Amino acid sequence: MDAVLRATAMYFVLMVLFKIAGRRSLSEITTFDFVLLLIVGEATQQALLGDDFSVTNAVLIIVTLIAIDVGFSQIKTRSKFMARLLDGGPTVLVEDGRPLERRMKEARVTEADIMEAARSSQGVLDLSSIRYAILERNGSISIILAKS
Amino acid sequence: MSIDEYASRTHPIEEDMRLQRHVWRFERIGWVVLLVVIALTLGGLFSKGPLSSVEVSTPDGNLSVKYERFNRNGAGDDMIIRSTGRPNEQRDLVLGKELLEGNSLESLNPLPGPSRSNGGDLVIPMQADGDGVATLYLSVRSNGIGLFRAHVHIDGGQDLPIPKFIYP
Repeated sequence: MDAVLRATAMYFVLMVLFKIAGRRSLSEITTFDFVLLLIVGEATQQALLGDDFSVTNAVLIIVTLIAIDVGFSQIKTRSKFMARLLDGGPTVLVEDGRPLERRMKEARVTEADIMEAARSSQGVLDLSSIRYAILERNGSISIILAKS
Repeated sequence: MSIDEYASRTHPIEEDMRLQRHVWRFERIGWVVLLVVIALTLGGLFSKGPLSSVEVSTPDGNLSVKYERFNRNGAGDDMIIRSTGRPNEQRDLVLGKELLEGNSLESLNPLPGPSRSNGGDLVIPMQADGDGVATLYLSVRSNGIGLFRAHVHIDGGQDLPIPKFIYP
C-alpha cells in the first residue's frame, strides 16, 4: 500500500514544486540546472523507495507513476482547459521587434535570453529582425524572423 | 502599453493571458511559501531546531527527558532520560507503549539489566550512582506516522508526557 502512496505523494509534490519553479527553471539551460536536476532525482529516490529495495517495490512505484502520467495525459486530451492548466500555454515575448517588458519580467526572461535563442536558432544579432519571440511551454524560446 | 501587453494574442499563437497571469501569481506566492518552509525548517518544525529539541521534566524534577518533539518517518534521533532519587538505588523506568508504537529502540546505554514488559509498557531497570542520578541514553528510529502521546515515569513517581509528532 505504501508504495502507491509514496509514488502518488512524490508525483504531486514534484508537480507543484516544478510549477512554482516556472517553465524556465530546470530546463537544462545552464550546467547548474542539469546538476540541480540530478540532485532532485537523488533526493526523490530515497523517499520513493523507503528502506525496501525489492524488485516488487520498484515495479509498484513505476506502475503507479506511469498510471498517473497516462491518466493526466488522457485528461489533457479531453479537456483543453485542463491541458492549459497543467502544461500552460505559449507566451509572446517580442512582437514586431518590440520587447514586451512586463511579460518578460513576469516570466523571468531577459533580453539576453531572447538574443541567445535568436543567435543559436536563427543566427540573428539584433532585436529588430525578430518578428516574434515566443516562450514555449517547455521553457525554450522560439524565434520567428521579420520578413526582410 | 500595459493594457496592450496583458491582452491575449490570437496570432501567431492562441494565448490565454488571464490564466497565464494566474500562473505567474501562483509562482510568486509559491516562492514565498518555499521561503516560509525553509524558515520553519531552520526553526526546527521538521525536527532538530529550537521548536523541536526540548528538555521536559516532571514537576518534582526527579525525571527529565531530552528529546525531539518532531521527527520524520525513518529518521533516527537520540533521547536522554535522567532521573534523580536516593543514592545507589535501583529504580524502574517505565516507557509507555505509545512511544514504542511510533519508534523502535535501536540502542540503550548503559546496557540495562533484564528489562520486562508490563501491559504493553517497557520497564527498564536503572542503577543510580552515588549522587542518586541515573542517566539512560537511547537512540530511537521513528517508524510510525502522526502524533504519539507518549509517557514515561519512574515506577512510583510522577508521570511525564513526551508527545512526539512524526512526519511521513
